[in-house]
Amino acid sequence: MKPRMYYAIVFLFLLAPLLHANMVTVVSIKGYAEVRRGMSEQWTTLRVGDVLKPEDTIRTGEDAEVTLKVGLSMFSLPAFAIIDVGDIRHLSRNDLLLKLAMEEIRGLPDSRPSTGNATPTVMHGSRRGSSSFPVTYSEVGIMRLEGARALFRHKYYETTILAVKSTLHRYGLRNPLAARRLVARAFERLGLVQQAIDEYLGCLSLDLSRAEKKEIQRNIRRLEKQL
Amino acid sequence: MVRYILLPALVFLCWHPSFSQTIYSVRGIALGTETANPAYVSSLYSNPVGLLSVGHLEFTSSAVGSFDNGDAFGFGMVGVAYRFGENQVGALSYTPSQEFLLRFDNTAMRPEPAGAWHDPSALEFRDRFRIGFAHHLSDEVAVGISGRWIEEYLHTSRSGDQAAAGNPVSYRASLWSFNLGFDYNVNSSLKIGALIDNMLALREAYFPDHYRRFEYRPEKIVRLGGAYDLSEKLTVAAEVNSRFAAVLGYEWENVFSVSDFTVRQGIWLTTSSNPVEALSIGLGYFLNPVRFDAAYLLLLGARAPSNGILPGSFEPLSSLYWNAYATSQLAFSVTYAYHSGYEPLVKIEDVQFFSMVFPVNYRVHAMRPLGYARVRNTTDKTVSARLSFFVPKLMSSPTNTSQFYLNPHEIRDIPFTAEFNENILAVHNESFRDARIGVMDAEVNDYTDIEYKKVLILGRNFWNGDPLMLKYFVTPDEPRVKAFARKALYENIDFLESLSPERQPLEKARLVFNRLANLLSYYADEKTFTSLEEFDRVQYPSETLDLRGGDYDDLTVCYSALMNSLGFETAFVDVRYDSVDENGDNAHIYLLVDTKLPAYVWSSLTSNERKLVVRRNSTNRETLWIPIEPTLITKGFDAAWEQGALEYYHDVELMLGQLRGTVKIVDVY
Repeated sequence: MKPRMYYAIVFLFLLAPLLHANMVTVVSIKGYAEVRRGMSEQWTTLRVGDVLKPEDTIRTGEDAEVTLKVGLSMFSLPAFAIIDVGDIRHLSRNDLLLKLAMEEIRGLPDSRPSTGNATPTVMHGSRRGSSSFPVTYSEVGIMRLEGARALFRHKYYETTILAVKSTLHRYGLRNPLAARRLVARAFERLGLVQQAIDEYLGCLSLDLSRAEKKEIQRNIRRLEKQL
Repeated sequence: MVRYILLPALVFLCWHPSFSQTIYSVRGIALGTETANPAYVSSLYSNPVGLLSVGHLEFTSSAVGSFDNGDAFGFGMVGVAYRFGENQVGALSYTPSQEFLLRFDNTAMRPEPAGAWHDPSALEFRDRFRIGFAHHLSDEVAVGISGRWIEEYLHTSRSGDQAAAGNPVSYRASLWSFNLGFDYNVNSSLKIGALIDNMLALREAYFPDHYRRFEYRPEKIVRLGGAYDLSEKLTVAAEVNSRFAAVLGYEWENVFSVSDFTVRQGIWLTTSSNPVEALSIGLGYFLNPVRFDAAYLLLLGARAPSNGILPGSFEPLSSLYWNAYATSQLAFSVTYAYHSGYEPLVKIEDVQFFSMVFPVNYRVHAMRPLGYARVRNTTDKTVSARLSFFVPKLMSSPTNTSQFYLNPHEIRDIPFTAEFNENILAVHNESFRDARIGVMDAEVNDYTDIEYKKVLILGRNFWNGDPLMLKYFVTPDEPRVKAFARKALYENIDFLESLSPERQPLEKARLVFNRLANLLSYYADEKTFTSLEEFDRVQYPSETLDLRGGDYDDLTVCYSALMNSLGFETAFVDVRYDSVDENGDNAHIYLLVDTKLPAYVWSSLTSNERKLVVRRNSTNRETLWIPIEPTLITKGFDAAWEQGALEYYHDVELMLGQLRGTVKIVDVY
């Protein structure tokens, strides 16, 4: 075999994992989990070996856990969480800031109802098909927030921010402090200190306990020193 | 200053004795045929329709020299053409010393007794006057007619008349001959023309009966020609005629990157044993406002000498330009486009258009400049002026700019707008229209200078791919559209009334879509090609309903209009791709329909929130919008909704298309 052929084989061998970089595969499932394909309204049982597309959504039941192989790394989705597969990715800082700017324009002034009051209690179609999740509207918000936390844990900070903001926008949460702190921390991890401060400042307008307020203010002071 | 130098040159060319033997349009000689694309005053000698290319007033003079016939004499002419109105041009030419001279061999002539007729010693033809008129019958069709007065002289060395026996004598005959020409602009690139040469010949004076066979007998020839612009610089022309001859030629402008320099060539083909009858080449140069043209015509094959013709072998002439005695020749002409009798107060130096005109968004040209005119104050004082723009038939009146001031000798570009009327929506194919750009003295409201410039008006269905323009195709107020949409709801009024208010918008969108689906089918787009660019052709909603089908942009426009007619806002999602699809498209458009419902009620419409887009509508409220992919018209509303949502999620959320500029969302209503 000619040396050139060796190089080609070695090159292809190295390249092969990269070809699967965007492929998401279900590696293990503990408990019960479902997948919603594309824009379908039907949830079906998730199985080990399923290949997921970016437009798919998965959710886990109580005490469940799903492990996904995303390219060369692993992603673990905890119990009672929803995640859009397309969110398991990194964005450039510019894309994130532009996207946030657009979201901010879109979100002013907000027309969403006060936390959970005017929303239906049960999702339209959520009891259809083989779904075993009697999920209510407000529960979906909590599950999506849990999905965002999973993104954060796996260092997908950009999509963490977008997912949390989208969840806050669409679902509202009774206590959005945890969500907003998550966003602030993601900003911090990305080095976007001013944005993190702004997020913490936004938290101060919420109905907070003295201890919570103190902690937020401490974080703001800490971050201001980094500016 | 140029005119003072060039006018004497024109007269000089006219009067200067040259080695001429015939006269014709110099451009026509070089190009071979001017049947389809004649131009200038000299088109009096080819197809008089070409007079319509004259802007205001045009003078020309030409001279033709024959290499093989030193005895032949000057054939200069001077011509003038004047534009009477938007669509009429008249012209006149005069040839003071023009001759087509044939000399006969009298050396072998037998002495004749007194009273006998003597053989001619010379035959002379004078194409004295030509008069022509051209008229635009419509924007595409023009007609022109020209007449010429020809004098013929037959000279004998001795008279056959008893009274003047033995003295040289000349006999005179004359006739009028008329040509009729047509021109049709098929599109912006292709012209076809027809010419009936000598359609009518009226003889008013004859030679004596003995010499009638020497009279000129103009032959009626029908010519059909075409001219096609292969590019902005290169035009090819062809002609076939009733003589079973063909002519091919080309005209190449700005050749060798020399601006205003033109090269022309032609070839004459016949069905005879010598298929190539003649070749020509010519040059043209335009030094504003003067045009210089030169042409050389090489006649191949044996030519009969025009000197020493044996009277017994003489064949009557059927054409002064193209006959057995015609020889290779060199022709020159100088043409001067004369705009008025005095230096205008404000002069138009140049006119440029920013774009062609798309009838669909003709209203924008009332606000957005269509082009600009470079104007110059020719005086030593500040003048106030206005610019006007006018396209006959497509505009009810000229659109004037506001008054502007020009400092002494200042040159400035003045943008102009155009208020077209609804006639423009009746333009189905692209065509060049004569636009009149005038500058007027604002003090007296009188034009000081006028320019005519061709403006390209595209067909009413043409679309350049810009989603901002596409929205002008959406016509929700058309009765056909309103009726269709309302019927879709009336047929299901009981069902709609049974629904909760949150469900009604979605179900209305579904009912209209499914009614449309029962009527229409989707077919891939066909591109429309013009010489300039590639365009899509978009149907108006009523056309789509009548034709019962369309491509993606037709269906998107139609569905948008139907929903708009019911009071729903819509938006186009325009997506640009890096590569082309199987239809050769690298762009796609689908639709968003506003439900007018607040964002937080999404779960009353679907359990998959990504099937709905949250965005602001015209009332600045954040509402839920339904993405619809109209190409799935035959699969029904649910499939079109799901596909539209999938595309939107992919294009906007995953690919961040709005951030990267590959997705543009355009509100329609």
